[in-house]
Amino acid sequence: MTPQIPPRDIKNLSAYLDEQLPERERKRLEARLAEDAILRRVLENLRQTRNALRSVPQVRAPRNFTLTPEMAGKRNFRPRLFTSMQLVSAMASFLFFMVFFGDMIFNVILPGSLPASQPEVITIAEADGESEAEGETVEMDLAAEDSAEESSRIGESVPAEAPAPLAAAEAEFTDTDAPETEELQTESQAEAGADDTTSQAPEAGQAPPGVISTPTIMLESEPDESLALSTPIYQTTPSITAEPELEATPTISITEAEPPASGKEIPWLRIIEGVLAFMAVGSGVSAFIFRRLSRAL
Amino acid sequence: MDEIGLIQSAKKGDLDAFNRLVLEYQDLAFNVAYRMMNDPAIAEDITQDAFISAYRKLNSFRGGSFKAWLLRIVTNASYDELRRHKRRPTTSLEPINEDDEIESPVWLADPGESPEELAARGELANAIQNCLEKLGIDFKTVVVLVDLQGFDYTEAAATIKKPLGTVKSRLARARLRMQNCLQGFGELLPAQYRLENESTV
Repeated sequence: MTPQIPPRDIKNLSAYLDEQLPERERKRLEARLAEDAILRRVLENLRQTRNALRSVPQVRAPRNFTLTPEMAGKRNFRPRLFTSMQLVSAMASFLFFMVFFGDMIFNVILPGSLPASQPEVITIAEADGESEAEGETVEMDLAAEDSAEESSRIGESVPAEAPAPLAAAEAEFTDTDAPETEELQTESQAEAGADDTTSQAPEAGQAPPGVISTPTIMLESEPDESLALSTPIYQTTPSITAEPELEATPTISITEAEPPASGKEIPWLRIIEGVLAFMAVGSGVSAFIFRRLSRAL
Repeated sequence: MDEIGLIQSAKKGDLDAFNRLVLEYQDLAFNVAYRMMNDPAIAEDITQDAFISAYRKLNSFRGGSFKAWLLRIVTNASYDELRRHKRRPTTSLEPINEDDEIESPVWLADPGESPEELAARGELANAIQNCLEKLGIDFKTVVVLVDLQGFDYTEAAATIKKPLGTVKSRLARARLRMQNCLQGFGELLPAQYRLENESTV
């Protein structure tokens, strides 16, 4: 026969075995156990079962379960650092070569063309603005050559005083070896003509467009000739020292003074190049070291 | 260093401190996993995964019993594995206990016993393990924690996150089922563990 015991009694008996029953319930159960044989037998079976379960040997762990840095996820930090260092190195190298070759192109390959073009532009600008006489003489000289024959045809549009200074300037330009007395006369005439042309410069400029544009093109392409065209005029005239035409010389000196201004930028460029080179090499070496460390771990 | 100090150091990323805790609790964690799974290889995997998970979740430990917190991770991992095995049952091609002495954890324990006692304890351990397999997961967990690992009711309740009354009732029912199961082994069990040939319910 199987004795029927309520689940509540089984629960209390089990807790009683483990001394987990409250004091009042424990006393009540002990009183019942003293009277009920079935309850005592059930309690004994439970005790044997519990002892059997507690007799099962403990098993030793077959190995240590300690964590390695890889298991703990600590190794992920180094590859990230290593790849970021590689990226920094690559970007610094790219920027370094861009700056370096840019510097080379502007300072080594182009320096012959760059200073040559700047002075003419400035001298022309200066000549147009400050010493109109110089520009007028150049225009006058070249206009005299080109439009010598056209003047007869365009005679109506060209002012009547123009031929006199043009002829004087032409004589001046062609006969550089003439005596000083003649030169003084021609120069005074040229000055007078220049004054006239300055007053009538817009007219001369408007009349034949090709005449005005020609000297500017020649000046930009052949800078030495512009100096050759202008300097003989001033050298042959004794009044050059006192005349405002001498202001053309400072314009040349201004253009020559520009290289030192650009030279101030060179140290900054060198510093940038140095910093980029240092970053490229430094980060590259760091990436290499971190890569070796990540492999070693 | 005390346990609380080791836990605080481990929370700050000190892996050596955490590994000292691992060495302290690895036998207990492996035993629970082994009794739950009855397979040393699976128990090994569960134990290792549980320690890795414990290290990563260490900041979620808010005090109390570290042992209970750690074994909750082990039992939860065992639950997941048991559910997975139920969905996809597998049969090992190699014998685990009788013929394979190295695989049997019985031979790893208490070398001071005589061969007879050892054999008897081996028989009893096999019988208990068989009966444990017939229990439901919830009952098995309580029996393993309280009777096999010696937890008190409070620790067991903290481990399974259930009230104390639930632990009491589950344990009583589990012991009763184990008792009925072990009666089936009869003469195979050592004399002191033989139960009366009567069922109580």
